Amino acid sequence: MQLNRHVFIRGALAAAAGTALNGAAHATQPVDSWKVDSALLYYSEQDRVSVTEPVIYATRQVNEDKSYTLHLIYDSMTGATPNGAAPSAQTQTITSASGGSLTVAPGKLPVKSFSDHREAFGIDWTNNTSRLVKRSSSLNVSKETDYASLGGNLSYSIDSANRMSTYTGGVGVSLDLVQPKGGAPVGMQSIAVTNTSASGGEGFSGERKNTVDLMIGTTQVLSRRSLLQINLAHSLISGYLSDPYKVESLVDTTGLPTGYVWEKRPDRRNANIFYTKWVYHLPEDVIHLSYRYFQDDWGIRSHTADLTYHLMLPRQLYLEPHFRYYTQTQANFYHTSLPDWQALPSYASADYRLAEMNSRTAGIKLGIPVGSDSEVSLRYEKMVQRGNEHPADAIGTQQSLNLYPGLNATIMQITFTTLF
Amino acid sequence: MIRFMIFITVTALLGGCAAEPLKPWDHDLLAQPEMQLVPDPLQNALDEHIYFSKEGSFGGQGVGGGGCGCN
Repeated sequence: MQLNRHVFIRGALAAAAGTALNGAAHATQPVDSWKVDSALLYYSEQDRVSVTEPVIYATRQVNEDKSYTLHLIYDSMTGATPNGAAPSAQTQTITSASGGSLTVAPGKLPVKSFSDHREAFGIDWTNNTSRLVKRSSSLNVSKETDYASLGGNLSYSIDSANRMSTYTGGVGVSLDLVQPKGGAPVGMQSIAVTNTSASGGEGFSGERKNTVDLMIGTTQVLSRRSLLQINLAHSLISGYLSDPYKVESLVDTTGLPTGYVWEKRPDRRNANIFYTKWVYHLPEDVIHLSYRYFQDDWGIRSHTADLTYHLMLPRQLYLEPHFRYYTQTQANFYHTSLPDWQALPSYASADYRLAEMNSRTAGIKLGIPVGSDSEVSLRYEKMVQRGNEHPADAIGTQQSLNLYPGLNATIMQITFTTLF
Repeated sequence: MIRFMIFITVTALLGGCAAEPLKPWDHDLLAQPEMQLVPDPLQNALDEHIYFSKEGSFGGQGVGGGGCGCN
């Protein structure tokens, strides 16, 4: 973010010399000012979902020690998303008890059309409680037609006396409500049978889903030019964790579908995350390089590497190429389909996000200063996901089908930032 | 693997920084906006939301955000 670089640097130099938090991890905005970022994101998947998302972030720097940020987000989602059923060598018709029917051509991935919107509001507070201690907290609420979330978090950062190290500890809680129309289906039961959870039907208030996040971390100044951040986090998610719209195909020995059941996931998930980021200032440009290792008790292990290169151009313009690589193993209950001649397992999901897969993102951003206090930036990225198209457990005719069609997405964003 | 990473984190937490402390005026580069750990929080939040809704992993940079029915 190039905006008003001189104002920021002037403020931050004052900060480094005395009052505010370490120059390592805190850019100050002039006291008594507002910084407003307004962005429009357009996310589009080939043949699938598209999302239009206007966002506003407004940050008020109350004084040298206090600031708050208000966020307002609106998502408009429309398109088609895989419903979990496996492609079939013959035309298949998927009929649920609620009357919905979907006919899918041979070899095609069954997808379900949908349209929804999401409104989210959040507020973050940051204040220095003493010379070396900073407290950050936030409150977030969001609402979709069939989902609601209330979340909050609190973290403390403590600087070492020589301002070379920052230690951070935080906790976050999110209380969510899953409210699918007509109730949440009972997992592993046939979709042809009317059967929702006990809380379904009239007056259905929803199924609960709770998340607790814990994190400790440190940021070290390695030199005048470089910083290293290391975080360790644990997340515990409990409650209704299945996707209420996804099904699992039952197939016979030839690989043709004979029925469908609702997917079912365990009602608890424990995840551990290691995250590190290195920031390095070259003579002119800046490199951000991060790595994340994720593992959970569902059997997912993932590696994420992310590189951003901030390339300074004349006249305060800048370019930011971005590359990201992600790879994960599959959840231990992931099955593209289930054999109908065997007893059903306790848990099963064919959600492509729980499959073995990798994702590559490449993009570029251009930042253009407008006057001394504003900036426009334009971003364009491509994301490509690929998985195992021919898994070893494919049955009969499935072996000749592409069971993981992959995903190609385009991300475009325009942002206007101004300070006043 | 995660034990190794816990070891690295705890070592970093306990060990602090071996580097020579910087003078206040040597914080000039570190103070630049593009040297912040998250230079653009809005874009970072949008990206995390996209990845969270399309992949089986999440988190690492901090604690809690808003929930979403997308995953």
